[in-house]
Formats: sequence, C-alpha cells, structure tokens
Amino acid sequence: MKKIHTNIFKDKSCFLSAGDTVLLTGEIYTARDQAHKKLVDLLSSGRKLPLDITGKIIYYCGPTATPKGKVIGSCGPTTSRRMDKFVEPLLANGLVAMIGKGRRAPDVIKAVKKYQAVYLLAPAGCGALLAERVTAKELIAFKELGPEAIYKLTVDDFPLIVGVDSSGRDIYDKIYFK
Amino acid sequence: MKLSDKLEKNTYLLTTQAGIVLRADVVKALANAYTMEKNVKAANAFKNIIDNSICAVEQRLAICQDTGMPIVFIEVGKGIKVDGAMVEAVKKGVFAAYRDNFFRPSLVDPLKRRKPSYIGEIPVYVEFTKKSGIKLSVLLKGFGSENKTKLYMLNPTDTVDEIIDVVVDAVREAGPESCPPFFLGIGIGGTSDKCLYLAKKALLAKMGNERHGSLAYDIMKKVNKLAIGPMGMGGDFTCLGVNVKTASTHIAGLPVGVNINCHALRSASLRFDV
Repeated sequence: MKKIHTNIFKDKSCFLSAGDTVLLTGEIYTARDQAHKKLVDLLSSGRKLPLDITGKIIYYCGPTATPKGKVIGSCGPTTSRRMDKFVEPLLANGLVAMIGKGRRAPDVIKAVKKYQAVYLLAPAGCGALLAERVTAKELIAFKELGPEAIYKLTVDDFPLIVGVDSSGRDIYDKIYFK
Repeated sequence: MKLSDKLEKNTYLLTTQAGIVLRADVVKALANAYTMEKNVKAANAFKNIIDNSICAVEQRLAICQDTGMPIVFIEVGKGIKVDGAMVEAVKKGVFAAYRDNFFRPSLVDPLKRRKPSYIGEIPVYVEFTKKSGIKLSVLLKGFGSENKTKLYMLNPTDTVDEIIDVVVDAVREAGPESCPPFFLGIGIGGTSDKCLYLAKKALLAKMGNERHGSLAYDIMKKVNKLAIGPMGMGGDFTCLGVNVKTASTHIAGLPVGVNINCHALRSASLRFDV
C-alpha cells in the first residue's frame, strides 16, 4: 500500500498503476452532477471558474449534513459515469485526478491517458468510515447547491484503489469485462 | 395517543433506524460473504463495508451519504378508521428524522433542480389487509442502484430461464458502480406499474423469505456467475439475497420488474395495534 500526498499529482500521476491501493493525504474538492454542469458551462462560455482546478483532485461526492461536533457527515463516492460527459474539458483545464465509484466510458479512459491524469476508486457505500478520514471541510463554491456544492476536504490516509492510470489501463478491463 | 401521532412517531423511529443501523439479515449476509470470500481485494471491500456499518452506529452517522429517497409503506388492517391525515403524519415523521439525524437533503423538483431539500413529494403507499393493526415500513432507496431499475415486458410463453436471463442482464448493466453486491427485489406479473411496485416491496422482507420455490436461489446462482463482486473487485458474491413477489397478470403478458438494491439495503418495519 502506497502512502501519497495530493501535492505529488501536480508533477505526475504516472507512478500509479491500475489496481494499486493507496492512502491519500492532502486536499480534494467535492463536485457532483450540478457542480460539474456549472463548471463546464462556465468554461464553454469563456468565463472564470470559482476555483483554479489546475493540479486539483475532484471527488464525486455529496456529503450528508454535518452533525454537531463533527467535521463532516457520511461522505462516500457517487457513481462516476454520470460525470463522464464533463471530464474532458476539466482535464484540459488542468484537473489531475478524479475520485468516484464504478466504470468510466471509453472516451474518459482515453482522456485520462491523453492528459496524464488518474481515476481513483473510493470504497463504495462506506461513507461513515470515510468521514473518519476527513479532518477539515470548507465551502468553496456554489453554496446554492447545498450538498452538491464544491467543498474542499482535507483528508488523511483516504483509502483508494487506482481505477484508470495515466497509461489508460482500466482495473475493470481485467476484472469485469472478461 | 391519536393514530396520526402514533404514525408520525413510529415513522420517525423507523427512518432513523433504517438510515443508521443496517438490517440484521443484511449484516449476516455480509459477514458470511466476508468469511467465505477468497479473493483478497473483494474480501477487503467486504471488510470496509462491515466496518462502515459498525462505524455508522458508533458515530451515529448515516450508513451512506446517499440517504436515499424515503419510501413509506402503510398496511392498514381490519376495522381501522382511516383518515387522509395519516399520509401527512408519516411524511412529517420522515422529514423530522432526516433533519434530526443530519441525513442528506436529496429531494429536488425534477425539472427545476434547485437546492435539494429533505422535504418533498415522497412515495407513500397505502394498502388494506385483513390482518390486525398497522404494518409500517420505511425503505431508504439510494439512487445509485435505483437508476438501474428495469422493467421487461416478456411474452406469456417465455420460460423461467428467460426470466432469469433478463435479471442477469439487469445486474450486468448495473455493474460495479451501483454498489454491489446487490440485494434484488423481483416482481413478476401484474401490470407494468404493479410489477415494479412488487419488485420494490420485495426488498422489505427478510432476504430469502420470498423464494417462490427455487426461483430466488436460481437467480442468485446465475447472477453470482457474473463475478462483479464488491466494488467490482470480482469474487463469488455479486448478489447477497433475492426476494420474489408475484401477482396475477394478463394472458398476453409477463411483466418482470427488477429493483436492484446496493449492499446497504436500508429498511425498517413495525407492526402495531391501534
């Protein structure tokens, strides 16, 4: 199991291979359906994004409300496929990694290879367990979306599996599409 | 206590329980799979799922951040005076439980899609039975799996094997992203709407209690050959339980509804006298 820091993605992601298990420490940004739509709409109309996504990692997640005295509520991954159509413009603008659950479209896998990015899998349906690995949560953009807003999460040893690596290898090629 | 107050209070308790405490039959199925699974990556995924269920109770957190679409089933028994206020009462109970337990507001207008709320037009099904008292059930249905729901309008001459094949197709398509291993609610017969209702309702009963001869077992056996496994990591467990419900259908048809549920099958039921 590799322990890695989010800073390392700014330089390269090619040290990861599909199937690797990693513990990620650093900062990640939540964004799911509506936030993706807004980000890509802003990009296509040539406007500035509310956050610089260069070198950043997006986590497909909409957490529950935060219980009193806690940093965050349950915060597991949501289905990545619904975000497939928004991936290419975000990678073209500097996004380096995505965290979610499940398969990606062939176009996304090609884009991950083209931009030398990486797609990571978080333990699906384990939102309470993952909440323990989040040490800070800060609202960044699109407050009006509630749980679908963009939050910066500081994570400590967030357990992940590499789904698609920067060579375009897909974990589900080996396991599932036999 | 007035009936509507009783309904509100019990719905509140059931919603809270369903969202935080995993069902006993679900825990048992997960523990069994974890013990039996030889594939290391799949076994590790099972360990996370089991640890998560313990963590949820200890920390009083939702089992999953997708606290789902709440669906309420009210079965009204003999001799009970019903009132339109019953439906409002259970909704009140559900919404209060979402608020107090910090469950995720996930309800939106389907077209406007503005800020999500925990208040909305949730499905509340009322049925009348000959039994005594009221049976109240709450199902929190996550949409990662709900999105994979299938309705097949088969031909009346299609065989049981063909029914099993379409269920397998549905699970194959659901794949690793809908949080396998799954629990399957299968509805057979009725009309298109009734069939999907049966499939949903089949998820409420203890898994394996509604087998229809060997059908539930045969479905499970064939689905498990897909070897999707937890998080899509493969292994022997793609499906952990199947319940089948049937109803009369028309001579021209054979509706088959498949309601796929993720590994966090979250429901709670209670029967009480009025």
